This record gives sequence, C-alpha cells and structure tokens, in this order.
Amino acid sequence: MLALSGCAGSSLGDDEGGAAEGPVNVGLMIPLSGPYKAIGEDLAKGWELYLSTHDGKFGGRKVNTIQIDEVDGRAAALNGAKKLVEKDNVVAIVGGVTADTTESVKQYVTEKKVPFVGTGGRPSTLTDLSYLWHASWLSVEPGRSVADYIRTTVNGPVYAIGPDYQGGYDNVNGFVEAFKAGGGQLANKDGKPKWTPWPATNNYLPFLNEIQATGAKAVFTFYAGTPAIEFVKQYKEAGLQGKIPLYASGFLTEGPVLQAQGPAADGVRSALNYASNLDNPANREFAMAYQKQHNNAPDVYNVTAWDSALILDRAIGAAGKNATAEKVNAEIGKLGAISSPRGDWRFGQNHSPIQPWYLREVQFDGRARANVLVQNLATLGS
Amino acid sequence: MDQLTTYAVTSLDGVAFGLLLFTVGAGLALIFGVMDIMNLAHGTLYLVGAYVAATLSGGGLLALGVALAVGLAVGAGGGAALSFVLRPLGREGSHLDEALVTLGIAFIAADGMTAAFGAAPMQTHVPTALEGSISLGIHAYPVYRLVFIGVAALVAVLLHVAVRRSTPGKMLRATISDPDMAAASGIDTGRVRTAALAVGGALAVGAGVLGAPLLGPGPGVDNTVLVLSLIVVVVGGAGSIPGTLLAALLVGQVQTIGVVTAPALAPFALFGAMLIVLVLRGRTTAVVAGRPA
Amino acid sequence: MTTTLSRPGVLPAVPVRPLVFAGTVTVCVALPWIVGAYQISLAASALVLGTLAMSTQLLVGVTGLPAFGQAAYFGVGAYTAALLANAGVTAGPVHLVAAASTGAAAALATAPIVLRTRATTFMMVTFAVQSLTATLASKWKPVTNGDDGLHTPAVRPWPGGPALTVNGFTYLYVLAAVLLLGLLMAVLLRSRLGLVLRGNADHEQRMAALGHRVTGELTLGYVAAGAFAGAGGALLIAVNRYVSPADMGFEVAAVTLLAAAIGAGSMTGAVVGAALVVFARDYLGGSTEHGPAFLGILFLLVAYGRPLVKRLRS
Repeated sequence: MLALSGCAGSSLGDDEGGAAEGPVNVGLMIPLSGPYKAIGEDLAKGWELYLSTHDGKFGGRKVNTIQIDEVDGRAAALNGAKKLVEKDNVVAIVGGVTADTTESVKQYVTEKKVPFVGTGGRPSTLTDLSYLWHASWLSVEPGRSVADYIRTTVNGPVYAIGPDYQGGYDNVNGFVEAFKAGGGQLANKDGKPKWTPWPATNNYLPFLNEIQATGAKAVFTFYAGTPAIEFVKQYKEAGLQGKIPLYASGFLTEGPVLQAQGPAADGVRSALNYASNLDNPANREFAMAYQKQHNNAPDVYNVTAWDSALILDRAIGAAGKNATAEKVNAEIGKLGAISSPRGDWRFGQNHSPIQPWYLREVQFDGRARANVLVQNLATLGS
Repeated sequence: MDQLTTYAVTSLDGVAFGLLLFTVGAGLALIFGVMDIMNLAHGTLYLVGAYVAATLSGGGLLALGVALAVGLAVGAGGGAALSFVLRPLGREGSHLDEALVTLGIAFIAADGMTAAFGAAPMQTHVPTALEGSISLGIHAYPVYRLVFIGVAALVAVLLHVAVRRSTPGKMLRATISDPDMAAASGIDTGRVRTAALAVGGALAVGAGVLGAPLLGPGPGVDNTVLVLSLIVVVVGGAGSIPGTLLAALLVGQVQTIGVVTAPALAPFALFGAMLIVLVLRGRTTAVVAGRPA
Repeated sequence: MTTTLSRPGVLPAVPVRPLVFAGTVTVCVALPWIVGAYQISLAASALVLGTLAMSTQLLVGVTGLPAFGQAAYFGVGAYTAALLANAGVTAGPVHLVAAASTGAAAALATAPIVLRTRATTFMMVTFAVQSLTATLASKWKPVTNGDDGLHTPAVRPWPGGPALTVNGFTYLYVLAAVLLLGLLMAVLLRSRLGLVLRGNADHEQRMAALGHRVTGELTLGYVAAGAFAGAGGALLIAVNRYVSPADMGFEVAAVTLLAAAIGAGSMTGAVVGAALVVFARDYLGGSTEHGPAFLGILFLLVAYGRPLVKRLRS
C-alpha cells in the first residue's frame, strides 16, 4: 500500500473510494453498544432481511457490509466514518440513530465525497446537502404531523417535555411550533418545553410530579431507547397513565422498547411514518417475510434500513461499472419513487422523504402489544 | 401548596435514591477502609445485582428473595475475591496497579454482561404484592420505593450498630486503625479483612438487586454508580457510617430536587462538595481519607 | 554519546539504546510511505495519546503521584485550540503554545486542592477533577457547544502554511511536535526540578526535613504536567479536527493510566504504551463490539506483568 501515487487508501494522496467490478463495500454504522443498541439491532435486521431476499447483491454485485459501532453517534461515529472511508473504501455509509450521527460525520463525508444515507434523526441545521441523504424523516416531522390533531382533540393546555439534546429539541419543538402556530397553549410554567438532563438521568419522577401541578390536559413527549422505557414506566408509576393522555413522537413506543414497557404503554398515542398493520402491497410482503424470520411484527427501524438497502441496490446498479462513491451519490439523486412498506415516497429537495404520517395507539389484543393504526395524519416533506 | 407537595414528593424520591447510594457507598467505604484501594469495579458489582434481579425476579416476593440471596452470595464472593485478585501484585503493588486490576475487571465484566444480556436495558419486575402506588396529595408514589426506603434505612441502622457495638465491629475498626497492633493483640486481621471485603461486595450487589426498579440494569450504569458512590465515600469520610449516610442523602437530594430546579448546576454541586470537604479536612499525609472514630 | 563504558583492552561496546531510539525515529518518519491512510491516522492518534501519557508519567512514574485526571488538562488544551481554530487562527504552533498555557493555568488552579492529598485519596481527587471538567465541557454550551462538540477547520503547520487535510502530512506534523515535546521533557527530567520530583517520590518527609518546599516543588511539577497535557490537546485538534467532552472522559483517563503503567516510569515507554493501547483498542477491537473486553484484558496483563517483570529483573 504505497502512498503518493493516488492508490486507494494512500497516506499522502487523495483518492476515491470504490473498485471497478466484483464485490462492493458498504458501511453500516449502527449502535452496537450503549442506550440505542436495541435500535441498532433492528436496523441490522431490516438490512439483512433485504440482502437475504435479494441474493446478497446490490445492482448485481455482491455486498460486503462492514458494521461499525457508533455507540451514541458522537466521537465513535466520526472515527467509524474515517475507518470506513480510509480503510474499507466503502461506496456509501448507511446508518445513524440520532441526529448526533449526522452532525458528527457531515463535514467529513462531504469532504471525502462519500454518500451518507441516514436511517435516524436528522438535525434541522444542515447547510451543504450534496452527500447527505435521509431515508428516515426530519426530526421535526413526527411532532409537526400530530400538532393539529392534538390541538383540536385536547380540551386544554398541553405539557411538553423531552431530553436535553438535538434530537429532543427537534422532536418536541416540531410539535410546539406547529401547535402554538395554530393557537395552542403549553401548560409548562414558562410556556417553554421542559428539558430533562441527557443522558445523565433516568429518573423522571421529579419531572412527572410537576406535570400534575400545572393542570395539563395532555402531555407531548419524545424519548428513544432506554430513556423511553423509563419514562413510560414511570409515567404509570406516578399515577398519570389514564389520567392525563400521553402523546408522543413515535419512537417512544416503537420497536424493542414496547416489550420492555409492557402494560405501562397501553393507550399511548404516537405519530410516526409507519405502522406494522399498514395495508399496502410492499408492506404485506415485507411484514410477512419479517414475521417469518423473526417471529415478531416489524417496526419503523427495520423498514428504514430495508429502504436504505433498496436505495443503494438501485443506485449501485445504475452507477454501472467503476461505481465510485461519487457516482453512487449522483444516482441516489435520480431515483424517483421508492416502493416502501411505509407507502410510496421519494426524496424531496432537502434530501429527506416526502411521505405520509400516521397516528397510532398502543393496544394489547390479548396476545401481543402493538402500535395500531388509528388514522392518517398529514403528508410532510418538500 | 401544590408546589410544596410536589417538592416534598420529589424530596422523598431523593431519600430513596440517597439510601440506595448509601448502601453501595458503605460497601465501597468498607473496601477502601481495609484494603486502601480505589475499587473501580464497585459500580460493576451494583450492575451485577441489577441484572440478577432482572433475570430472577418473576413477580413474586419469593422470587425477589431468591434474587437477593443469590446477589448477596455473589457479592460476598466477589468482594472476598478482591483480596485474592490483588495478592499477585505483592506488597509493593502500587496504587496504579491496583487501579488497573479493578479497571480491567470492570471493563471485561461490562463487556460480558452486555454480551450476555444484550445492550437493551432489561425489564425489572416489582413483586406483585408491592406494585401500585399510594396517593400523597395530588401525587402518587410507588409502594415499592417506600418499602425500599424502609429496608435500606434498617440496613443503615444495623450497619451502624454492628460497627460500633459488636465485637466483630470493634475488631474491624482496630484492623483499619492499626493493622499491626491489631494483629499483635491477637485479632486475625486476614479474616477480618476478607469478611469486610465480603460484606462490602454484598452491600453493593444487594443494593443492585433491591434498587433495580429505581436504577435498572443497562450499559453505563456501572460508571454512574461508581462515580456517585466515590463522591459519597469522599464526602462522608470513609470511616463513619453516619457520615456516609449523610453524604449519600445529600447526593440523593441533589440528584432529584437539584436536577429539577437547577439542572445545569447539579453536577457541580456534587463535585464542589467533594472538593470543599477535602480542603476543609486539611492536609492528609495519612493514606485514608478518614479513620473510624 | 554512548551509554556504556569501554575498558582498555576490550572492544568498545555497542551503544544499543541510542541506536534503537534513532532507528525507531527513522521508522516513524518513514511510516507514511509504508502504510495506508487508515493506519497512519491511528499512528497519529497514538502519538496524541502518547503526549497525554507522558504528562501522566511525569506525575505517576517520576513524582509518585497516581494522577487519574490529566485528561482534564488535555481537554482544556484541546478546546483552546478548537476555539482558536474556529476564530480563524489555524497555525499549529500557536495552538501548541496557547493550549500548553491554558493547560498549565488549569493545573495551577487545581493544584492547591489536589496536592493536599496523597496516594489513593490523590487518585480519587484527580478522578473528581477529571469528571468535573468533563461535565463543565458538557454543560458550558455557549463556549463548548456541549455534548455535540466542536468541529474545526484544518490546522496549518506554520502560519500561512498549507492546510493539513491529508493524513500522512498531518501525521508528520504531529510527529515533529511530539519529538519536540519529548526533547523538552528530557531536558525537564535532567534539570533540578526533575531531581527534586524524584526525591519527593522517594521520601517526601526526608525532602521536607532537608528544607525543600515540598508543596511548591510538587506544584511546579503538576503545572508542567498540565502544560504537556494541554499541548497534547492541541495535537488532538490537528488530527481529529473535532473535540467533545468524551475526549476528556473516563475511558480516556483510564487508558492514559494504562499507557503510563506500560511505560514503567520511562517517557518513551509511555509513548510505546500509548501505541499499544491504540493498537489493541482501535485496530484489534475496532470492528467488533468487544473493544472494552480487549482493553480490560490489556489492563490485567499490564497490572500483573509489571510486578513480574520487576521480580525477574531483580
């Protein structure tokens, strides 16, 4: 591996990622440890299901998936991205759970001209989008999609609370801004959302106790991973379940956290771009395949990873011979409509999906607990 | 009035959390007292207890009892093993090497537990008899936490009485104060040490088993518990049970009420207290932060 | 300069240590032409950690104070360099001087409290200093951008020089800086301060009885260590172009201690130890989820190995 001659991975020269023919390397950056590991596992399952049902190939080429542990999406994500680009010569990086991941890698992937397909939250503060794509959502969208519904259904002020980091701000503020714009009132003491220390605390009882005293008629929140489990369980322990309706950004009760929450989650209403009982051809096929493989209903994380694989399959195929990372990136931009289990969607101008949003409620049918579709909300994206 | 009730309930929660930290911290103080080591694997012991609770407790009081018994046994064994594990370092084993050993154990154990239990936090079942909440004004407070407060307070009292009044307690204090003199007066210091380590370990794991519904098992919890129990030991003075209890309750209040009212200041309050206490205690050429009175 | 004696009538002995050292330095300089981009960036990270390890070694191996918290001053230096870079000042040497100064200042501010203790209590207090500083970085959002950290533009090796974006050239800059820092450290160790610090490590009471102002001397040593740690922080910015509270967190502090322990009292040993840690943690453990276990095993190996090696030597 000599430098200076522009060979792949050289120390003293720039080079492009990607080889001519043969297998193609793709980086899958997901949490393999830390509070979001369960979500990381779900992303991996969706990704692997796509590969196993498509002969392990993208665009006719065998795929080498290189998994990287992004832990909490900060330093580990940036270091992982560097390894994927410099050591493994990937043509694309897929992954991320929180908006932090995108924040961490955005400068690097844009400089190195390697497309990043995000599968999780996305910060609202991106400027240069050329190599940044999201197959997931904008972090402000879940809250935004359900703001009108809450405003017209709840007869009184709503208490907003969330974790103190970018993902929390975006999800909760997405709701708060749309809610207030329509004339809604927050029950919080100073009219602003309450931020709980993150990741420092898992004890929400002090905050939940406050909610009662404010006379709120509903609560809107966002938490993901471990904190989501704790929040929902403690919501019940504080005596608020059944007393004050809990609305949330869908991640509060989506996927593995729902099992851990148990009966405490019943009745929670959340907004998300997927429900496992959606009735469209892609979902019927996907949900059945997933159920057969894993004995469980799929969740939005499985779908997002599946869609990311689908995107790369088509883009790498379209890039043809000598598919460099740059070429793959160009092809992603030309994709058009994507047939996903969540409904049809396509990339908007801001490289994020234009997609429908749904209101779900956690219901227990005697055998399993699930987020059941209640009604369609809005289609968001541009 | 409502606001006052809210603070009162939050403060109660602070007492529960403080008592949890006391139990863990008392264990660390014991280990520090007899071995003069900074046991960086102490948080790991708590985490083991929490995982034991999550795995074994099936919902009934008997299951919890079994989990506690298993936890105490594991903790006692682990604590006693500490002296064996450090023995190869020899008498000239430096503080550095001791720190490395406990760090190494902590890292490997953390990785092992994540591999065994998965990195998603596990659901801990509160015994059905203790489920539910009782109403305090407009608030509801979980019954389990009230019972926990009672049990932990009892443990604190028993520990204090044992250390101050009982013969083993006196032997322990002698061994910590002046090991050579204690040995010369016929006390089997080796056995006292092993016993103290076992009790210290059992306290930490026991706190994990009973405290799991308050602070449940998951990656990173070992680090949280380690840092907090370290603060408790330094602020409370490693030698006195009432001191450790006071420090633990203080930390508990800061972590609950402090976090709600002034979230940005809460961490500083903890460490600031630690540093102030150290300054006030004066220059210590002595090796232990405080000796039992 | 040879480190061995030669007796008349006997063939002159080969100066092994300087030769080995010179050979290692040559290999280090030639590295970018031998290995690929990813390996070179790991090597640069190892050098950065090595600087932090040298700072810790000055306290642990030379002065006998088990310091857990040098990562705090490392972080102070890193944030200093990051803020300078984001304000338009991207010259590496400026970063080094500024970061070393702020690291030294932070050390000076904490020395009065920290030096009231020794041994295990000293370790606990420095642990608290490290935790507190990391928390400060996490909470002081207007300055440090909190847990999201600061991304910075590329550093230049001298004012007006080319931006260091290619891994190989960044590594060479860091290597030059570390060699310079190593030289400074060598001078320090051979100076009067170095002797005095070793004396205090050996027998503090005797030093005091001889009339030394022990606390003053230890403070000087502590401040010097803070300066070295701060300089390491400036190099972190050159390599990563990013700093966050995690860079001064528990794991960094723990592996620094490990690197110093591997070094067994010597500065070059500390740097070698840092390289070993980076190799085990990032190269070996990087693509598995069991990185922590690798580290843990390394901790145990070193902890048990040291007394063994000591026994074998004597």
